[in-house]
This record gives sequence, C-alpha cells and structure tokens, in this order.
Amino acid sequence: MNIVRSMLLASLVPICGSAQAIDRDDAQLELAQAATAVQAAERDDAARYAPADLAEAHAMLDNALHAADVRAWMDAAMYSERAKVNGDLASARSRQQRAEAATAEIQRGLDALQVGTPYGGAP
Amino acid sequence: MNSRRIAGASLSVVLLGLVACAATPHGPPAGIVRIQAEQDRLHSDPRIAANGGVELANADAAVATLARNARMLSPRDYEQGLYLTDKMLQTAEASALARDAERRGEQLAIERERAGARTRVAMTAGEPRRHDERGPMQDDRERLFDMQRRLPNSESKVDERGLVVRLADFNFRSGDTGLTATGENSLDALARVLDDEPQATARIVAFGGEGERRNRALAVRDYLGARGVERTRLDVRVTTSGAPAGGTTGDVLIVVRE
Repeated sequence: MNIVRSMLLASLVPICGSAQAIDRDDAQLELAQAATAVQAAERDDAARYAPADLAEAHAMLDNALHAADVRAWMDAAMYSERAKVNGDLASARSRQQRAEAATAEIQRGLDALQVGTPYGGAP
Repeated sequence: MNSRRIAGASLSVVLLGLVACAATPHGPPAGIVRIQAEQDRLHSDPRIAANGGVELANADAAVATLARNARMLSPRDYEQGLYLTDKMLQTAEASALARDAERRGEQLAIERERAGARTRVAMTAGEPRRHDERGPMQDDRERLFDMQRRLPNSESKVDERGLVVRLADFNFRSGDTGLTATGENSLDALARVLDDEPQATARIVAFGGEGERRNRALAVRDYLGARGVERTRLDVRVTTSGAPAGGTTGDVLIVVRE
C-alpha cells in the first residue's frame, strides 16, 4: 500500500490540473482501500492506543463518502488518500504502544528477578 | 531620438527582469523545508534509522518527489502531497519505534530467562529443600521451566507455587474486564502450553477484592476456556490483599502446576 502511495505521489505532477483524470472507478478504488485501512486500525485496537489518528481517519473517510455521494470524484479520492494514511498511522502507533507496554512489562519482571523480589504474594 | 527610445525600452526590460527575479522566492517552500527537517530528524535517530524498513524508504521517496516537483504542482495538489508525506513520515517513525521495542522485548525475555536460571542454580546450591505438598517435585519443576520457555513474551517465573504468569493491570482495558491485545497474546501462548500439558492445572488469582477484580479472573478463565482449556483444570480465587509484592492492585496471577 505504501508503494502505491509513493507511486501515486510520483504521479501527482501529470494529474495536476486535470481533475477529470480521476473517474468514478479510481475514486471507488481509493475509497475501498481507505475503508480497509481504517478497519485494520480498528482491529489493531487503535481506539485505545491512537484515538486521535483513528478519529482523523474516520473524519476523512466520512468526507470521502460525502464527496462520492455528490459525484465529486476528485474530492472523494483526495479524502480517501488522507483516510488511508491516517488509518496506516493509527495502526503503526497502536503497534508501537503495545510493543512498548509489553517491553516495559518484561523489564519489570527482569528487575524483580535481579533484585530477588518476588512479584507474587502467596495466593 | 530613436536611439533614446530604444535605450529607454531596453532599460525597462532589464528593470522588469530584475523585479521578476527579486519577486521569485528562492529555495524550497517552507512546507518542504519542514518535512525535510523531519526526515533528517528520523534518520539521525539510530532507533529509527536501523528499523525504518519499507515505511521509511517510502517516506524518503515521497519527500524527494514532492521536493522535486513542488513548484510545478497546483496549490491543492501541493497541500495534498505535503499532508500525505507528513503522515508517511509519522508512520515510518511509529513503525520503526515499534520494531525497536519488539527487539528490545525479545532481548529482555532472553535476559530474564538467564536471570531465572541463575536464581534456580542459587536455590539448588543451598540446603536441600524438603518436597512437601506445597512445592512441585524436581521433575515437575523442570517441566514448569520448560513451559516457561514457551512463554517468551509473558511475565512469568517458577517458584514454590509453580509456574506463575502475571497479567498486570494494564493488560486489561481500563474500566473494563476485557483483555488488551498484549494480555490476549500472553493467554494465547499459555493456552497452547496447557493444551500440550494435559496434566497441568491452573489457579487464577485476582488481587484487590471482589467486583471488578473477580470479573477479571473470570474473564481470564473464560478466555482460556474459549481456547480449549477445560474448565475443570481452571480454579478461580480472589484474595482481598491489595496487590502482590512488586505488582499493583488489579494484577491477576495464573499459577500453573503439574
């Protein structure tokens, strides 16, 4: 997907100034990719770990859907791209937060072992 | 007269040219300067430079493309390119830091295993311990250590109670009894271990009294049950003591014994 984004960015120059170059099929493809990225972020628990990025992804996806409703395909594609990068960012931040929490947890266990302090009392 | 007019016209042309040159901004636009500075910051951070992967490579390509074409783009396309590139840089940073934390976690897990082994050696070097009903037999301990090795990303230890796996307060969603993804990962691994060890039983101990704490223990039992561990092998207990030593209120310990 990031390769697609780079390719798309590289192709901004020829697209520039020709709004008609984005048709319904292109916009709907972008919309589908954006929806997939937002769903992936939700599965990655971004609502807990990256709520701001997920909220922005949802807002952009809503904008894209509204634009598609009025057949503004250029706008729909533009907002879809924004929704997608925000979904990707929310997933990445979520992964970062979970990894850092897990590492901190292992570090505490190691510290407890090294000072000889049991972390569990007698149940 | 004509030569004067020609000279005047030439002077005007030269002056117009100078004005046009002065009015044309030099150097890249401010937005490009900002994202290039951000790109430099990411590359100067060894944690990000070493773990950037495809995300950082794509962000680099996007910055280069945008910088090269910034002056040819319409304001709308330029703003769009700037927005996407900025988000790609942020994604590259988060992905790289996630990989860095995952690698550190793996290294710490190995270190923790070694520290646990040193503790075992220290214990066995002392006065021989009498095996009673509270402590697992030596063969059982070896099996428990074997089980522990199969839980590399969980906080666990083997002591006189058995294999003790700790689910910390942050492994549960705040204000909820549901497990976070990290907590689920720990229990997934534990369920696989219990599946391989049909003789093992687990006591799930919640700290901090009744109510939500007990519900957390029940959530752990239900999660393990949903992954094929028989309910008869799972015993739920609640203790009113505030927290295990070294832990916090809201921790749940899972004590596995052969």
